[in-house]
Amino acid sequence: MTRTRALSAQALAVLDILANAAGEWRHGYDIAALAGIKSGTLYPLLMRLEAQGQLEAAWQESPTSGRPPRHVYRLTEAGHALVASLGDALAQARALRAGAGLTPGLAGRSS
Amino acid sequence: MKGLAPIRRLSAVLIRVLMQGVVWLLPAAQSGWAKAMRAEVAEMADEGEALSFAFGCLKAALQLACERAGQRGLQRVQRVRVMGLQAPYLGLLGASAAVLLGCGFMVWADAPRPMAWMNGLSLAFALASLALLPRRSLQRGPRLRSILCAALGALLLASTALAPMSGVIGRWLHLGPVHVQPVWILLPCLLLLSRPRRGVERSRGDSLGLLMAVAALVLQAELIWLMVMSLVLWQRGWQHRGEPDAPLAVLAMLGAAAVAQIWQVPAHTPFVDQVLQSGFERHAGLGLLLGLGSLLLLLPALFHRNAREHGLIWGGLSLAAWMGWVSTPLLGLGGSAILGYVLSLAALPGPAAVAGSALSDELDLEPKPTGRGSHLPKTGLT
Repeated sequence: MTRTRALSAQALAVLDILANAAGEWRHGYDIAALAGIKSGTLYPLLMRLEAQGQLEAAWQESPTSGRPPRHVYRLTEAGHALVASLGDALAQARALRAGAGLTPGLAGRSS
Repeated sequence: MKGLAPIRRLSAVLIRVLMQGVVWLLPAAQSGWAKAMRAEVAEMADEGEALSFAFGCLKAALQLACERAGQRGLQRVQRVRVMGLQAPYLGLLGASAAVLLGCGFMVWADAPRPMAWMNGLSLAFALASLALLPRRSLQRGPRLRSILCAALGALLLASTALAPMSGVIGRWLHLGPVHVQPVWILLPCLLLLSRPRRGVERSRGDSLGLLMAVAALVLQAELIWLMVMSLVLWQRGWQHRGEPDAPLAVLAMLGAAAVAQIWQVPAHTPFVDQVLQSGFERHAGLGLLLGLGSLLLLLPALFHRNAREHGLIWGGLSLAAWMGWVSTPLLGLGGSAILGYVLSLAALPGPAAVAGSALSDELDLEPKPTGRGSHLPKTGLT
């Protein structure tokens, strides 16, 4: 049976950022910075999204030699479908983040 | 810049310890996630940011470990109720549970009967005192906080006139049959009251109080407290550059270095010092239970970002207690620690501050909606 629980504002922010990445892979730190959430909130969310098939993760070699490969994330088809079904809620979350001074979507920072 | 090298090394070690904790806490099936977190931290150039990120990862791993323990019911209560509780209430819950656990251990281990009673009475007295404190005014009045900081610093300095415990170390205040160590009560409150708050200008009272506290701790040869104080001030100086905390932290560290010349590890007193080890000596399960009791002191810090300094103070003291350098707070016999812990909760942002700056301190994104996500669509995600 599908659990019917509301998406948290943080989950909406993460989905919004990944949706706006237009298929590009995103790092955990980038997502946290753009969504304005802490790593303690981000990772359980990413784990759940991945477990539910909304998100896919991959390993990407670090450009700096000697550093471990990084985990990168992007939405799956199911994730994009979920985002498309969110409509107003996503727009509301985006407006709230913009109000809080956080840059929405594509203006990501690279680390 | 050269002077910052030891701090950077210390941060790097701390980050490594935190990330090792993450690896240890997450099950094998999620080891990839632990690696992912570690790789992310490794890419960060700013130590402060990396430390904060690592703390968050540990918090996430702790949460997931709780889930894994199969305590789904308990975890639901934790998410809905405990995390929803304000930091002071969480602290009260943790303190009460820790004191009761300590009392239970004393009774079980045949400690002299008055010990458990004394801790119980201290807890009752501390709770009553907290109820009488004007918490709302403390949250809303920067002027009152500033005056209090100066007054607490002055009181701590004045307590130097009391007779030392041994040599020049430590001070006791005798109030009839009750004996308290002023430093346990005054310093945590002073440190937390002087915490910088968003949108509130720092006053001279805060710095003056902290300065007097450093002087008092040096005069009283309180090495551990000087170290705890410098730890809190360092992380504060790191987060709020330009504030007077970094110079005060340096001063506290210099004081600690000076005091280290004469400081000695206190003599071990059963049921007061190294309570965790005493538990482990009797039974591993008992030791673990008491270890969990120690972690209860960190509840406010684990669930509320703006109570992080509270966690730093009491976590630091718990670690020092593990080494036998101070008495074990709340689990061991000691009304001063109980009183100090409970009263320091008054300095944490609580319900009175929610409407103001504390909320933006606590939530990075937005105020919590009053009806949990009522405006959001229902989906299969949490």
